Amino acid sequence: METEPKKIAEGLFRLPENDDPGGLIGSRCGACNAVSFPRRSLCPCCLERENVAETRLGREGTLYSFSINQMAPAGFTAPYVTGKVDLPEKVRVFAVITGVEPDESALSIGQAMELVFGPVAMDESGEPLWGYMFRPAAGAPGRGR
Amino acid sequence: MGRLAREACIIGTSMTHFGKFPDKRLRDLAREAAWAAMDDAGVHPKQVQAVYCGNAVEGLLSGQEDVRGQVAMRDAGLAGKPIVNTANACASSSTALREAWLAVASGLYDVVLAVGFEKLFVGDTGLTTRALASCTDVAVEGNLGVFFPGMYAMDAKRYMHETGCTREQFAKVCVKNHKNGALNPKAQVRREVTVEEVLASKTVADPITLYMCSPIGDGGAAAVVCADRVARRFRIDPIHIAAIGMASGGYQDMAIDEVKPTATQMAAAEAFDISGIGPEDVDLVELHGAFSPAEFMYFEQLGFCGPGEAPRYLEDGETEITGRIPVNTSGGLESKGHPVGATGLAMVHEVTGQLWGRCGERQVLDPKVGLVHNGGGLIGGDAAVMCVHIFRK
Repeated sequence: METEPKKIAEGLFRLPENDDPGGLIGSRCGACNAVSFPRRSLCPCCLERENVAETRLGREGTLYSFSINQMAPAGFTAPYVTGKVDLPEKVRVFAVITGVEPDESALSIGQAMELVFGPVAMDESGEPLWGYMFRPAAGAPGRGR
Repeated sequence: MGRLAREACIIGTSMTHFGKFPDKRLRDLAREAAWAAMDDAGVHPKQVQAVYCGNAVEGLLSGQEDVRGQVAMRDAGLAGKPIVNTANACASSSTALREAWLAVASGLYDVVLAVGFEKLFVGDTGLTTRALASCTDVAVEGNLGVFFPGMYAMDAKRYMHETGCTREQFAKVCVKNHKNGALNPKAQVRREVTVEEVLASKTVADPITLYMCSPIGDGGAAAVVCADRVARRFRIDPIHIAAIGMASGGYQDMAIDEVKPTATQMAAAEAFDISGIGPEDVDLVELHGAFSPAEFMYFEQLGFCGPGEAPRYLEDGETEITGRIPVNTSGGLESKGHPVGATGLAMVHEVTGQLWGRCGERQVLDPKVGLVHNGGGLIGGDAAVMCVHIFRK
Protein backbone atom coordinates (compact mmCIF):
# COMPACT_ATOMS: atom_id res chain seq x y z
CA MET A 1 0.00 0.00 0.00
CA GLU A 2 1.34 3.39 -0.92
CA THR A 3 -0.33 5.45 1.76
CA GLU A 4 -1.53 4.15 5.11
CA PRO A 5 -5.33 3.80 4.91
CA LYS A 6 -7.50 5.31 7.62
CA LYS A 7 -8.44 2.65 10.20
CA ILE A 8 -11.93 2.12 11.59
CA ALA A 9 -10.59 1.37 15.06
CA GLU A 10 -7.27 1.41 16.85
CA GLY A 11 -5.55 -1.44 18.65
CA LEU A 12 -7.79 -4.25 17.40
CA PHE A 13 -5.95 -5.40 14.29
CA ARG A 14 -2.92 -5.01 12.08
CA LEU A 15 -3.50 -4.38 8.37
CA PRO A 16 -1.58 -6.46 5.82
CA GLU A 17 1.79 -4.93 5.04
CA ASN A 18 4.66 -6.39 2.99
CA ASP A 19 5.07 -10.00 4.18
CA ASP A 20 2.72 -9.56 7.13
CA PRO A 21 -0.77 -10.78 6.18
CA GLY A 22 -2.27 -8.72 9.02
CA GLY A 23 -4.48 -10.11 11.76
CA LEU A 24 -6.61 -9.58 14.80
CA ILE A 25 -4.70 -8.70 17.96
CA GLY A 26 -5.73 -10.45 21.12
CA SER A 27 -3.98 -11.47 24.29
CA ARG A 28 -3.17 -14.92 25.62
CA CYS A 29 -2.91 -15.76 29.30
CA GLY A 30 0.27 -17.64 30.17
CA ALA A 31 -1.39 -19.08 33.27
CA CYS A 32 -4.70 -20.48 32.00
CA ASN A 33 -4.16 -20.14 28.24
CA ALA A 34 -7.43 -18.24 27.71
CA VAL A 35 -7.43 -15.84 24.78
CA SER A 36 -9.11 -12.46 24.92
CA PHE A 37 -10.16 -10.16 22.09
CA PRO A 38 -9.51 -7.29 22.05
CA ARG A 39 -6.15 -7.44 23.82
CA ARG A 40 -6.34 -6.98 27.58
CA SER A 41 -3.60 -6.34 30.09
CA LEU A 42 -4.93 -9.01 32.43
CA CYS A 43 -6.75 -12.29 31.95
CA PRO A 44 -10.51 -11.94 32.58
CA CYS A 45 -10.78 -15.70 33.11
CA CYS A 46 -8.20 -16.32 35.87
CA LEU A 47 -7.24 -12.69 36.65
CA GLU A 48 -3.56 -13.28 35.90
CA ARG A 49 -1.86 -9.89 35.60
CA GLU A 50 1.81 -10.55 34.86
CA ASN A 51 1.95 -13.37 32.37
CA VAL A 52 -0.33 -12.08 29.61
CA ALA A 53 1.07 -11.55 26.12
CA GLU A 54 -0.15 -10.17 22.84
CA THR A 55 -1.19 -12.79 20.32
CA ARG A 56 -2.49 -12.92 16.76
CA LEU A 57 -5.79 -14.69 16.42
CA GLY A 58 -6.41 -17.44 13.89
CA ARG A 59 -7.73 -16.33 10.50
CA GLU A 60 -10.35 -19.03 10.03
CA GLY A 61 -13.39 -19.88 12.05
CA THR A 62 -17.01 -20.92 11.90
CA LEU A 63 -20.09 -18.74 11.64
CA TYR A 64 -21.97 -18.65 14.96
CA SER A 65 -24.77 -16.48 13.59
CA PHE A 66 -25.38 -13.64 11.15
CA SER A 67 -27.78 -10.86 10.29
CA ILE A 68 -28.78 -9.18 7.04
CA ASN A 69 -29.37 -5.61 8.22
CA GLN A 70 -31.89 -3.68 6.14
CA MET A 71 -31.06 -0.39 7.85
CA ALA A 72 -27.60 0.93 8.56
CA PRO A 73 -25.84 3.19 11.03
CA ALA A 74 -23.90 6.22 9.80
CA GLY A 75 -20.99 5.20 7.60
CA PHE A 76 -22.54 1.92 6.49
CA THR A 77 -24.85 1.31 3.53
CA ALA A 78 -27.94 -0.87 3.84
CA PRO A 79 -28.36 -3.67 3.28
CA TYR A 80 -25.19 -4.90 4.95
CA VAL A 81 -24.29 -8.16 6.63
CA THR A 82 -22.86 -8.72 10.11
CA GLY A 83 -21.94 -11.90 11.87
CA LYS A 84 -20.24 -13.53 14.81
CA VAL A 85 -17.40 -15.90 14.01
CA ASP A 86 -15.99 -18.47 16.42
CA LEU A 87 -12.20 -18.65 16.18
CA PRO A 88 -9.95 -21.57 17.20
CA GLU A 89 -8.83 -19.61 20.29
CA LYS A 90 -12.42 -19.96 21.63
CA VAL A 91 -13.09 -16.31 20.92
CA ARG A 92 -16.29 -15.08 19.24
CA VAL A 93 -15.70 -12.02 17.08
CA PHE A 94 -18.34 -9.63 15.78
CA ALA A 95 -17.64 -8.23 12.32
CA VAL A 96 -19.08 -7.19 9.02
CA ILE A 97 -19.41 -10.11 6.58
CA THR A 98 -18.25 -9.48 3.03
CA GLY A 99 -18.10 -11.41 -0.21
CA VAL A 100 -21.76 -12.49 -0.13
CA GLU A 101 -25.01 -11.10 -1.45
CA PRO A 102 -27.14 -9.61 1.36
CA ASP A 103 -29.49 -12.55 1.18
CA GLU A 104 -30.59 -15.07 3.80
CA SER A 105 -29.61 -17.99 1.58
CA ALA A 106 -26.06 -16.72 1.12
CA LEU A 107 -24.88 -17.86 4.55
CA SER A 108 -25.56 -20.64 6.99
CA ILE A 109 -24.72 -21.09 10.64
CA GLY A 110 -21.66 -23.27 11.15
CA GLN A 111 -20.01 -22.61 7.81
CA ALA A 112 -16.27 -21.93 7.50
CA MET A 113 -15.24 -18.28 7.38
CA GLU A 114 -11.97 -16.48 6.82
CA LEU A 115 -10.59 -13.11 7.85
CA VAL A 116 -10.10 -10.38 5.26
CA PHE A 117 -9.17 -6.71 5.40
CA GLY A 118 -10.68 -3.88 3.43
CA PRO A 119 -12.89 -0.81 3.63
CA VAL A 120 -15.62 -1.53 6.21
CA ALA A 121 -17.36 1.84 6.38
CA MET A 122 -16.92 5.49 5.48
CA ASP A 123 -16.20 8.50 7.63
CA GLU A 124 -18.19 11.77 7.45
CA SER A 125 -16.16 12.97 4.46
CA GLY A 126 -16.72 9.76 2.51
CA GLU A 127 -13.20 8.45 3.05
CA PRO A 128 -13.06 4.65 3.43
CA LEU A 129 -12.32 3.26 6.89
CA TRP A 130 -10.29 0.07 6.80
CA GLY A 131 -10.73 -2.80 9.13
CA TYR A 132 -11.37 -6.51 9.41
CA MET A 133 -14.25 -8.49 7.98
CA PHE A 134 -15.03 -12.15 7.44
CA ARG A 135 -16.08 -13.92 4.26
CA PRO A 136 -16.96 -17.52 3.45
CA ALA A 137 -13.72 -19.51 3.36
CA ALA A 138 -12.25 -20.32 -0.04
CA GLY A 139 -13.55 -23.60 -1.37
CA ALA A 140 -16.36 -23.72 1.16
CA PRO A 141 -19.96 -23.94 -0.01
CA GLY A 142 -21.71 -20.59 -0.09
CA ARG A 143 -18.65 -18.68 -1.22
CA GLY A 144 -19.86 -15.96 -3.56
CA ARG A 145 -18.07 -13.57 -5.85
CA MET B 1 -24.30 -13.14 50.45
CA GLY B 2 -25.03 -10.33 52.86
CA ARG B 3 -28.53 -9.56 53.96
CA LEU B 4 -30.21 -6.21 54.33
CA ALA B 5 -30.65 -4.31 57.57
CA ARG B 6 -34.39 -3.89 57.04
CA GLU B 7 -37.19 -4.27 54.53
CA ALA B 8 -38.24 -1.64 52.04
CA CYS B 9 -41.53 -1.24 50.19
CA ILE B 10 -43.03 0.48 47.19
CA ILE B 11 -45.83 2.80 48.31
CA GLY B 12 -46.57 4.64 45.09
CA THR B 13 -45.71 4.50 41.40
CA SER B 14 -46.46 6.28 38.16
CA MET B 15 -45.77 6.41 34.49
CA THR B 16 -46.55 9.13 31.99
CA HIS B 17 -48.08 8.25 28.66
CA PHE B 18 -45.34 6.86 26.44
CA GLY B 19 -45.13 8.30 22.93
CA LYS B 20 -44.04 11.35 20.99
CA PHE B 21 -44.50 14.60 22.89
CA PRO B 22 -42.91 17.54 21.04
CA ASP B 23 -44.45 20.03 23.48
CA LYS B 24 -42.93 18.40 26.57
CA ARG B 25 -39.37 18.88 27.67
CA LEU B 26 -37.46 16.13 29.40
CA ARG B 27 -37.86 17.92 32.72
CA ASP B 28 -41.64 18.09 32.18
CA LEU B 29 -41.79 14.31 31.78
CA ALA B 30 -39.63 13.87 34.88
CA ARG B 31 -41.73 16.26 36.97
CA GLU B 32 -44.98 14.70 35.82
CA ALA B 33 -43.76 11.21 36.76
CA ALA B 34 -42.26 12.31 40.09
CA TRP B 35 -45.37 14.13 41.26
CA ALA B 36 -47.75 11.40 40.13
CA ALA B 37 -45.80 8.80 42.13
CA MET B 38 -45.70 11.02 45.23
CA ASP B 39 -49.45 11.68 44.87
CA ASP B 40 -50.05 7.95 44.49
CA ALA B 41 -48.07 7.30 47.67
CA GLY B 42 -49.69 10.15 49.60
CA VAL B 43 -46.20 11.50 50.20
CA HIS B 44 -45.52 15.24 50.34
CA PRO B 45 -42.35 16.30 48.46
CA LYS B 46 -40.97 17.61 51.76
CA GLN B 47 -41.06 14.05 53.13
CA VAL B 48 -38.82 12.75 50.34
CA GLN B 49 -35.28 12.47 51.70
CA ALA B 50 -33.35 11.62 48.54
CA VAL B 51 -33.95 11.21 44.81
CA TYR B 52 -32.42 8.66 42.41
CA CYS B 53 -32.64 9.66 38.76
CA GLY B 54 -32.29 7.29 35.80
CA ASN B 55 -31.67 8.64 32.33
CA ALA B 56 -29.61 7.08 29.58
CA VAL B 57 -28.74 9.30 26.63
CA GLU B 58 -29.84 12.89 27.29
CA GLY B 59 -26.21 13.93 27.50
CA LEU B 60 -25.63 12.93 23.90
CA LEU B 61 -28.95 14.34 22.68
CA SER B 62 -28.94 17.77 24.31
CA GLY B 63 -25.45 18.16 25.74
CA GLN B 64 -26.79 17.91 29.32
CA GLU B 65 -24.29 15.20 30.15
CA ASP B 66 -23.94 16.03 33.82
CA VAL B 67 -26.38 16.86 36.65
CA ARG B 68 -29.38 15.69 34.63
CA GLY B 69 -31.30 14.67 37.73
CA GLN B 70 -30.56 17.92 39.52
CA VAL B 71 -31.77 19.92 36.52
CA ALA B 72 -34.98 17.92 36.22
CA MET B 73 -35.72 17.73 39.95
CA ARG B 74 -35.15 21.46 40.53
CA ASP B 75 -38.16 22.02 38.30
CA ALA B 76 -40.06 19.43 40.30
CA GLY B 77 -39.49 21.28 43.57
CA LEU B 78 -37.11 18.63 44.88
CA ALA B 79 -33.82 20.56 44.87
CA GLY B 80 -31.88 20.61 48.10
CA LYS B 81 -32.07 16.85 48.64
CA PRO B 82 -29.32 14.39 47.76
CA ILE B 83 -29.81 13.57 44.08
CA VAL B 84 -28.01 10.62 42.49
CA ASN B 85 -27.81 10.09 38.72
CA THR B 86 -27.77 6.54 37.41
CA ALA B 87 -26.95 6.33 33.70
CA ASN B 88 -27.01 2.63 32.86
CA ALA B 89 -28.42 2.36 29.33
CA CYS B 90 -31.92 0.86 29.14
CA ALA B 91 -31.61 -0.23 32.78
CA SER B 92 -30.96 3.30 34.08
CA SER B 93 -34.13 3.58 36.14
CA SER B 94 -33.93 0.01 37.44
CA THR B 95 -30.50 1.00 38.67
CA ALA B 96 -32.04 4.10 40.26
CA LEU B 97 -34.61 1.95 42.05
CA ARG B 98 -31.89 -0.39 43.30
CA GLU B 99 -30.00 2.57 44.79
CA ALA B 100 -33.23 3.83 46.36
CA TRP B 101 -33.95 0.40 47.81
CA LEU B 102 -30.45 0.05 49.26
CA ALA B 103 -30.59 3.53 50.80
CA VAL B 104 -33.81 2.66 52.62
CA ALA B 105 -32.84 -0.93 53.43
CA SER B 106 -29.60 0.28 54.99
CA GLY B 107 -31.54 2.44 57.42
CA LEU B 108 -30.22 5.74 56.11
CA TYR B 109 -33.56 7.07 54.81
CA ASP B 110 -37.23 6.25 55.36
CA VAL B 111 -38.74 7.76 52.20
CA VAL B 112 -36.99 8.21 48.86
CA LEU B 113 -38.00 8.67 45.25
CA ALA B 114 -36.72 6.91 42.11
CA VAL B 115 -37.47 8.58 38.77
CA GLY B 116 -36.69 7.55 35.21
CA PHE B 117 -37.09 9.88 32.24
CA GLU B 118 -36.09 9.95 28.61
CA LYS B 119 -36.88 12.00 25.53
CA LEU B 120 -35.76 10.20 22.38
CA PHE B 121 -37.79 12.20 19.85
CA VAL B 122 -35.49 15.16 19.33
CA GLY B 123 -36.16 15.78 15.64
CA ASP B 124 -33.07 13.89 14.46
CA THR B 125 -33.46 10.12 14.33
CA GLY B 126 -29.83 9.69 13.29
CA LEU B 127 -28.68 11.49 16.42
CA THR B 128 -30.93 9.32 18.60
CA THR B 129 -29.69 6.16 16.88
CA ARG B 130 -26.06 7.15 17.43
CA ALA B 131 -26.75 7.99 21.06
CA LEU B 132 -28.36 4.59 21.65
CA ALA B 133 -25.42 2.87 19.94
CA SER B 134 -23.23 4.20 22.74
CA CYS B 135 -24.74 1.43 24.90
CA THR B 136 -21.97 -0.83 23.55
CA ASP B 137 -18.18 -0.82 23.80
CA VAL B 138 -17.92 2.03 21.30
CA ALA B 139 -14.24 1.42 20.56
CA VAL B 140 -14.97 -2.18 19.57
CA GLU B 141 -18.44 -3.18 18.33
CA GLY B 142 -19.84 0.35 18.32
CA ASN B 143 -17.57 1.48 15.53
CA LEU B 144 -17.68 -1.73 13.56
CA GLY B 145 -21.25 -1.84 12.39
CA VAL B 146 -23.35 -2.53 15.47
CA PHE B 147 -27.04 -2.22 14.66
CA PHE B 148 -29.18 -3.18 17.63
CA PRO B 149 -31.92 -5.08 15.77
CA GLY B 150 -29.14 -6.92 13.94
CA MET B 151 -27.49 -7.95 17.21
CA TYR B 152 -30.81 -9.35 18.46
CA ALA B 153 -31.42 -10.92 15.04
CA MET B 154 -28.19 -12.89 15.38
CA ASP B 155 -29.30 -14.21 18.77
CA ALA B 156 -32.75 -14.98 17.38
CA LYS B 157 -31.34 -16.80 14.37
CA ARG B 158 -29.06 -18.86 16.60
CA TYR B 159 -32.03 -19.67 18.84
CA MET B 160 -33.99 -20.87 15.80
CA HIS B 161 -31.01 -22.99 14.75
CA GLU B 162 -30.71 -24.60 18.19
CA THR B 163 -34.37 -25.05 19.12
CA GLY B 164 -36.35 -25.19 15.88
CA CYS B 165 -38.30 -22.07 16.88
CA THR B 166 -40.04 -20.40 13.92
CA ARG B 167 -40.61 -16.84 12.70
CA GLU B 168 -44.32 -17.38 13.34
CA GLN B 169 -43.59 -18.11 16.98
CA PHE B 170 -41.59 -14.88 17.32
CA ALA B 171 -44.52 -13.08 15.67
CA LYS B 172 -46.89 -14.59 18.23
CA VAL B 173 -44.88 -12.93 21.03
CA CYS B 174 -45.42 -9.63 19.27
CA VAL B 175 -49.15 -10.36 18.82
CA LYS B 176 -49.57 -11.23 22.51
CA ASN B 177 -47.80 -8.10 23.67
CA HIS B 178 -49.73 -5.79 21.34
CA LYS B 179 -52.96 -7.39 22.54
CA ASN B 180 -51.97 -6.51 26.11
CA GLY B 181 -50.78 -3.05 25.13
CA ALA B 182 -54.10 -2.30 23.44
CA LEU B 183 -55.59 -2.57 26.95
CA ASN B 184 -53.02 -0.17 28.45
CA PRO B 185 -54.08 3.48 28.23
CA LYS B 186 -50.47 4.64 28.74
CA ALA B 187 -49.01 2.51 25.94
CA GLN B 188 -47.41 4.08 22.88
CA VAL B 189 -48.80 1.60 20.31
CA ARG B 190 -52.37 0.71 21.27
CA ARG B 191 -53.29 -1.54 18.40
CA GLU B 192 -53.72 -5.25 18.09
CA VAL B 193 -51.79 -6.92 15.30
CA THR B 194 -52.01 -10.33 13.64
CA VAL B 195 -49.24 -12.84 12.95
CA GLU B 196 -49.66 -12.10 9.24
CA GLU B 197 -49.29 -8.35 9.78
CA VAL B 198 -46.21 -8.81 11.95
CA LEU B 199 -44.50 -11.04 9.39
CA ALA B 200 -45.53 -8.76 6.51
CA SER B 201 -44.20 -5.62 8.18
CA LYS B 202 -40.85 -4.38 6.92
CA THR B 203 -37.94 -6.72 7.58
CA VAL B 204 -35.42 -4.87 9.71
CA ALA B 205 -32.97 -7.74 10.22
CA ASP B 206 -34.45 -11.17 9.59
CA PRO B 207 -36.15 -12.71 11.58
CA ILE B 208 -36.93 -9.33 13.15
CA THR B 209 -39.61 -7.24 11.45
CA LEU B 210 -40.61 -3.67 12.22
CA TYR B 211 -43.54 -4.62 14.46
CA MET B 212 -41.21 -6.77 16.61
CA CYS B 213 -39.05 -3.72 17.42
CA SER B 214 -39.66 -1.46 20.39
CA PRO B 215 -40.28 2.07 19.11
CA ILE B 216 -38.27 5.05 20.30
CA GLY B 217 -40.29 7.30 22.55
CA ASP B 218 -40.61 9.93 25.25
CA GLY B 219 -41.75 9.22 28.77
CA GLY B 220 -41.22 9.16 32.49
CA ALA B 221 -41.90 6.75 35.35
CA ALA B 222 -41.33 6.86 39.10
CA ALA B 223 -41.69 4.97 42.36
CA VAL B 224 -41.64 5.98 46.02
CA VAL B 225 -39.64 3.62 48.22
CA CYS B 226 -40.38 3.55 51.95
CA ALA B 227 -39.11 1.68 54.98
CA ASP B 228 -41.45 -1.16 55.90
CA ARG B 229 -41.86 0.10 59.48
CA VAL B 230 -43.35 3.43 58.36
CA ALA B 231 -44.97 2.38 55.07
CA ARG B 232 -48.42 1.87 56.58
CA ARG B 233 -48.57 5.52 57.57
CA PHE B 234 -48.95 6.17 53.87
CA ARG B 235 -50.98 3.20 52.65
CA ILE B 236 -52.37 -0.01 54.10
CA ASP B 237 -51.07 -2.21 51.30
CA PRO B 238 -47.41 -1.48 50.57
CA ILE B 239 -45.66 -3.83 48.12
CA HIS B 240 -42.48 -5.39 49.48
CA ILE B 241 -39.28 -5.20 47.48
CA ALA B 242 -38.29 -8.81 48.11
CA ALA B 243 -34.99 -8.35 46.27
CA ILE B 244 -33.22 -6.65 43.43
CA GLY B 245 -30.45 -8.63 41.78
CA MET B 246 -27.96 -6.99 39.47
CA ALA B 247 -25.17 -8.19 37.20
CA SER B 248 -23.07 -7.15 34.24
CA GLY B 249 -22.21 -9.16 31.16
CA GLY B 250 -18.95 -9.08 29.28
CA TYR B 251 -17.20 -12.40 28.82
CA GLN B 252 -19.61 -14.46 26.71
CA ASP B 253 -17.29 -13.83 23.76
CA MET B 254 -14.28 -15.67 25.20
CA ALA B 255 -13.67 -19.23 26.39
CA ILE B 256 -16.82 -19.91 24.38
CA ASP B 257 -16.60 -23.67 24.88
CA GLU B 258 -17.37 -23.13 28.57
CA VAL B 259 -20.94 -22.50 29.65
CA LYS B 260 -20.98 -19.27 31.63
CA PRO B 261 -24.05 -17.72 33.24
CA THR B 262 -25.51 -14.77 31.36
CA ALA B 263 -26.12 -11.43 33.05
CA THR B 264 -29.81 -12.36 33.27
CA GLN B 265 -28.98 -15.65 34.97
CA MET B 266 -26.61 -13.97 37.43
CA ALA B 267 -29.02 -11.17 38.31
CA ALA B 268 -31.91 -13.62 38.69
CA ALA B 269 -29.83 -15.95 40.86
CA GLU B 270 -29.00 -13.07 43.20
CA ALA B 271 -32.60 -11.90 43.37
CA PHE B 272 -33.92 -15.41 44.04
CA ASP B 273 -31.23 -15.98 46.65
CA ILE B 274 -31.88 -12.76 48.57
CA SER B 275 -35.66 -13.15 48.47
CA GLY B 276 -35.93 -16.88 49.07
CA ILE B 277 -38.46 -16.83 46.21
CA GLY B 278 -38.06 -19.18 43.26
CA PRO B 279 -39.23 -18.99 39.64
CA GLU B 280 -42.10 -21.32 40.54
CA ASP B 281 -43.47 -18.72 42.99
CA VAL B 282 -43.66 -15.90 40.43
CA ASP B 283 -47.16 -14.95 39.24
CA LEU B 284 -46.30 -12.44 36.52
CA VAL B 285 -43.29 -11.01 34.71
CA GLU B 286 -42.36 -7.85 32.88
CA LEU B 287 -39.31 -8.72 30.84
CA HIS B 288 -36.98 -6.78 28.60
CA GLY B 289 -38.02 -7.72 25.09
CA ALA B 290 -36.71 -4.73 23.17
CA PHE B 291 -37.25 -7.04 20.19
CA SER B 292 -39.92 -9.77 20.38
CA PRO B 293 -37.62 -12.80 19.94
CA ALA B 294 -35.73 -11.86 23.11
CA GLU B 295 -38.80 -12.77 25.18
CA PHE B 296 -38.22 -16.50 24.66
CA MET B 297 -34.52 -16.36 25.50
CA TYR B 298 -34.97 -14.27 28.64
CA PHE B 299 -37.97 -16.32 29.81
CA GLU B 300 -35.76 -19.39 29.74
CA GLN B 301 -32.76 -17.67 31.33
CA LEU B 302 -34.95 -16.47 34.20
CA GLY B 303 -35.61 -20.13 34.97
CA PHE B 304 -39.32 -20.29 34.12
CA CYS B 305 -38.73 -23.25 31.79
CA GLY B 306 -35.92 -25.24 30.22
CA PRO B 307 -33.89 -24.30 27.13
CA GLY B 308 -36.00 -24.28 24.00
CA GLU B 309 -39.29 -24.65 25.87
CA ALA B 310 -40.45 -21.01 25.89
CA PRO B 311 -42.28 -21.15 22.53
CA ARG B 312 -44.44 -23.97 23.85
CA TYR B 313 -45.40 -21.90 26.92
CA LEU B 314 -46.52 -19.15 24.57
CA GLU B 315 -48.39 -21.53 22.25
CA ASP B 316 -50.17 -23.04 25.25
CA GLY B 317 -51.32 -19.59 26.40
CA GLU B 318 -49.33 -19.81 29.65
CA THR B 319 -47.81 -16.34 29.15
CA GLU B 320 -51.12 -14.63 28.32
CA ILE B 321 -52.84 -12.44 30.93
CA THR B 322 -55.09 -15.41 31.69
CA GLY B 323 -52.22 -17.91 31.72
CA ARG B 324 -50.20 -19.42 34.52
CA ILE B 325 -47.32 -16.94 34.21
CA PRO B 326 -48.36 -13.83 32.27
CA VAL B 327 -45.47 -12.04 30.53
CA ASN B 328 -45.53 -8.35 29.62
CA THR B 329 -49.10 -7.53 30.58
CA SER B 330 -48.24 -3.86 29.98
CA GLY B 331 -47.76 -4.51 26.28
CA GLY B 332 -44.04 -5.06 26.56
CA LEU B 333 -41.46 -2.80 25.04
CA GLU B 334 -42.86 -3.31 21.52
CA SER B 335 -46.29 -1.91 22.38
CA LYS B 336 -45.96 0.03 25.61
CA GLY B 337 -42.92 1.84 24.22
CA HIS B 338 -39.29 2.13 25.26
CA PRO B 339 -38.11 5.59 26.35
CA VAL B 340 -35.06 3.82 27.63
CA GLY B 341 -34.32 5.65 30.89
CA ALA B 342 -37.97 5.36 31.96
CA THR B 343 -38.44 1.72 30.98
CA GLY B 344 -37.37 -0.02 34.20
CA LEU B 345 -39.61 2.01 36.47
CA ALA B 346 -42.49 1.70 33.99
CA MET B 347 -42.11 -2.08 34.34
CA VAL B 348 -42.16 -1.65 38.11
CA HIS B 349 -45.31 0.48 37.73
CA GLU B 350 -46.99 -2.36 35.84
CA VAL B 351 -45.99 -5.18 38.18
CA THR B 352 -46.85 -3.30 41.38
CA GLY B 353 -50.08 -2.14 39.70
CA GLN B 354 -50.94 -5.78 39.05
CA LEU B 355 -50.15 -6.70 42.67
CA TRP B 356 -52.36 -3.83 43.84
CA GLY B 357 -55.10 -5.04 41.47
CA ARG B 358 -55.49 -1.79 39.61
CA CYS B 359 -54.73 -2.79 36.03
CA GLY B 360 -58.32 -2.77 34.80
CA GLU B 361 -58.97 -4.78 31.67
CA ARG B 362 -55.51 -6.36 31.72
CA GLN B 363 -55.61 -7.32 35.41
CA VAL B 364 -54.12 -10.70 36.24
CA LEU B 365 -56.19 -12.79 38.65
CA ASP B 366 -54.93 -12.21 42.20
CA PRO B 367 -51.14 -12.25 41.76
CA LYS B 368 -48.93 -12.38 44.89
CA VAL B 369 -45.40 -12.18 43.47
CA GLY B 370 -44.18 -10.24 40.43
CA LEU B 371 -40.81 -10.05 38.70
CA VAL B 372 -39.24 -7.28 36.62
CA HIS B 373 -36.35 -8.05 34.25
CA ASN B 374 -34.73 -4.93 32.79
CA GLY B 375 -31.45 -4.93 30.92
CA GLY B 376 -29.31 -2.42 29.12
CA GLY B 377 -26.55 -2.23 26.57
CA LEU B 378 -24.52 -4.93 24.87
CA ILE B 379 -20.99 -5.89 25.84
CA GLY B 380 -19.04 -9.00 24.91
CA GLY B 381 -22.03 -10.92 23.60
CA ASP B 382 -24.29 -10.23 26.59
CA ALA B 383 -26.31 -7.44 28.16
CA ALA B 384 -24.03 -4.83 29.71
CA VAL B 385 -26.40 -4.24 32.63
CA MET B 386 -29.06 -6.50 34.04
CA CYS B 387 -31.49 -5.94 36.91
CA VAL B 388 -34.03 -8.43 38.23
CA HIS B 389 -36.53 -7.14 40.79
CA ILE B 390 -38.90 -9.30 42.80
CA PHE B 391 -41.96 -7.74 44.43
CA ARG B 392 -44.22 -9.40 46.96
CA LYS B 393 -47.69 -8.41 48.07
